[in-house]
Amino acid sequence: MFCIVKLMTSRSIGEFELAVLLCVNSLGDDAYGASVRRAVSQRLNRDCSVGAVYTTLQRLEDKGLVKSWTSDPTPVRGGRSRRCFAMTGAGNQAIRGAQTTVRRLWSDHGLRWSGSQ
Amino acid sequence: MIPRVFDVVLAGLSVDSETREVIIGDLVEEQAEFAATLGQSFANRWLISQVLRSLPLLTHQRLRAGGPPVMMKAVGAGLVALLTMLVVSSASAAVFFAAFSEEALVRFAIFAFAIDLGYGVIGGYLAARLARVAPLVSSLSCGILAVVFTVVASGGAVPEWYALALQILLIPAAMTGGWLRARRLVTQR
Repeated sequence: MFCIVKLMTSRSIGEFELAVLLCVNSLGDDAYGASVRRAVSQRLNRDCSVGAVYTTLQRLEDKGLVKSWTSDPTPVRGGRSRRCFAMTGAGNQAIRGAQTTVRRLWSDHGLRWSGSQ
Repeated sequence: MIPRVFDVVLAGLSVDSETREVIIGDLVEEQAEFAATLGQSFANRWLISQVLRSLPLLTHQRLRAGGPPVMMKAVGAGLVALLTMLVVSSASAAVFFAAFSEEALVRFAIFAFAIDLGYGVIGGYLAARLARVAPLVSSLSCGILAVVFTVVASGGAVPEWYALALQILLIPAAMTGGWLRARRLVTQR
């Protein structure tokens, strides 16, 4: 039981992690550091730092919610590679879990949940 | 210029070369996009802001990922480097005292001060070399330990400004040593 609790705790995600995870999911094949940073900045309406995005992506990868691989170097980046990201099955479950939690919290307050089903 | 400096700082925090490459690649790519749409000066300001805001987070992540072993290695290497520099500087001080009178030493205090700062740089480099992890953190620990030592052990015939200036400049001197080591790691890649 303690193992299950530990697993649930390690898989739980915060607000910024959820935003990054959702952006990785919505960007699909085009999810890499800079594109994720831009998407998160747009959604949260603030300029996020590349350090915040990379440390979060690293945490999500440690939790098994995203996977990453390095692309070939490109000239537009001065011959440097990109680190591409994709959401895993566990990441998908984490998003759904976060959605369920928020919905439950809203219903506990007697307010109607207006998020997409 | 800025991406290169950032590369050295990240190497100084023991961020692996692949991660450094992708982070700096992202910054270079976005900077070029901003330069094309909003102008070079905005793009440069954006880049500097990104670097300054990212550093504390990346430093925290590296130290947290490394845990106590990294900090212990950094402090241990700083201590060994400080002890080595104390032996070397004591030997050179003994030579100076044997060769010159005390008045002459006070007159040439600025010269002795420059030598002590040089020892600070070498100490920082040595700490960074010995620790093998997070060169900038190791050299910082060496600098802090050196300042503590000068606070405890200052006195004697040296002018008042000497100890104070040493306490202010020893940490930057040691960090310069760590910086040189980190730059070497980048060029060795």
